[in-house]
Amino acid sequence: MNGVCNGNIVTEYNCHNGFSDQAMIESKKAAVQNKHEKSRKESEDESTLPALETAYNAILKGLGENTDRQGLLLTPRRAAKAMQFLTKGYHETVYDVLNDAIFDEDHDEMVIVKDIDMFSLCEHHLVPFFGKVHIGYLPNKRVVGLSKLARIVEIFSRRLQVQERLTKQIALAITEALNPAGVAVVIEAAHMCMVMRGVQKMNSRTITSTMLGVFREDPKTREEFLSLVRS
Amino acid sequence: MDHAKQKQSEKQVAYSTDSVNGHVEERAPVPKSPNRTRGPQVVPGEETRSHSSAVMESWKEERTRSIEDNEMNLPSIAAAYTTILRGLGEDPLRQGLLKTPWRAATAMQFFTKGYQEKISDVLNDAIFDEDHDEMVIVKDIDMFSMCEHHLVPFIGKVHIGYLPNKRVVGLSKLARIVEIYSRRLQVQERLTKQIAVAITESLQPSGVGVVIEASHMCMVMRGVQKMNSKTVTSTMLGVFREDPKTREEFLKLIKD
Repeated sequence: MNGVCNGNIVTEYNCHNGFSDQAMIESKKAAVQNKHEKSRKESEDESTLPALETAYNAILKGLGENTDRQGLLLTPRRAAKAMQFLTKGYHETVYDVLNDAIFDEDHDEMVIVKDIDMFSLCEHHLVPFFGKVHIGYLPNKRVVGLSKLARIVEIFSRRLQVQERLTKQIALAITEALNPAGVAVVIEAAHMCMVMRGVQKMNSRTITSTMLGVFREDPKTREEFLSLVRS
Repeated sequence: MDHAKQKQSEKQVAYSTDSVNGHVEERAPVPKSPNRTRGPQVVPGEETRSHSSAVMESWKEERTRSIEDNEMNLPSIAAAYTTILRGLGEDPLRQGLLKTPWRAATAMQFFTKGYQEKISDVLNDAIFDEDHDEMVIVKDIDMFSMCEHHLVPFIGKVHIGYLPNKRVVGLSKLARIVEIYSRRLQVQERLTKQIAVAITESLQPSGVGVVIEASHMCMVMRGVQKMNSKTVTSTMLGVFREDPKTREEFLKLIKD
């Protein structure tokens, strides 16, 4: 369910004319929303809230806490809403976020947006992991609004995630939307499941990267991106 | 002197009827005034007279949870997490989520393992008689706790200082006290106070200072979403509260 990108979607999005054709837009929208991911409607959130509250109440009781004390009275509701917020990426599709902000620009040098703060939830322990995302792409006649890169990060990070998959999904989404010459995404994060529990290594960081297009094929391009991100 | 006594009794009233962290803690702080006598001072106040006998024993309070409780409750917590996964729209049967309810339940039990531990277990052997009356500080103790309002972590550093009164404690025991109280569903203010009171009651020092600086994920990841905000709370007892110069020395030494 977590927006698994398979080959079908890439061909759907391969639009060479930009988003100027209305009919094509509609069919793409349908294709994206049917095949890409199920987007969780906001009304569904309201209806599932009671079940989540009951579940959190059961958790508090199971932990041995006194659910009637003042600090915990509204906690099930707050925790349920917080969890829904932290997984709101399921609501959102890349198409909604990107649609208007792709521009024709005759620019063929690297564009990098770095140090994008990212907060996600580890799908194995339901514990946060957070860090920074660095995105670079080599435009191919089309550039995207810079904040849209951060919004793409938001969509995919606000889910139950695995860092490797998150990196890939961001890279693939940019590739499909823009058709650039290449995309690179690097994520450096600290996992609370490793810091707060388990092996308890405070300062460890996990770094994952996805290189597509010229970033993958040309070592010099990759090197330029990595050195610009490091500095 | 009167003012100090009044402050003490106010503090005792504030503590004595709290039902915090899942069990009633009947405790009162025993801050030392400059003209101190041996042993804890209990200021008799109307509301606290019934609790005075509990003062000496309060930091040796019973555990509220055992390992057997954990095992018994694990299935119901795991079932609750399965419901949560469904409620969020996820598929609990996909490969990545198959064992997540159990992992999340075990993780949550770990994050609240402070309920299983008693101060007396941790401290009893490591209090030594030492004729040292200068400040002892252990700073930059990493702390990880769970916000009791959103069940989301808050993480930070704890700095502890105390002025011994003929007795010193093993240094790691200060960090262990932090662990016991932070591995619970907490509010940062209460956590700071509990650490300070535990040290006071077990050591009877001339004074204790505890400062916690933490970043709250509930503020960073959601809600107002301020990445760099930190919350700083402090508790000063004894000479740290009464003597501004001692307090200043402590605060200066914990700053980098």
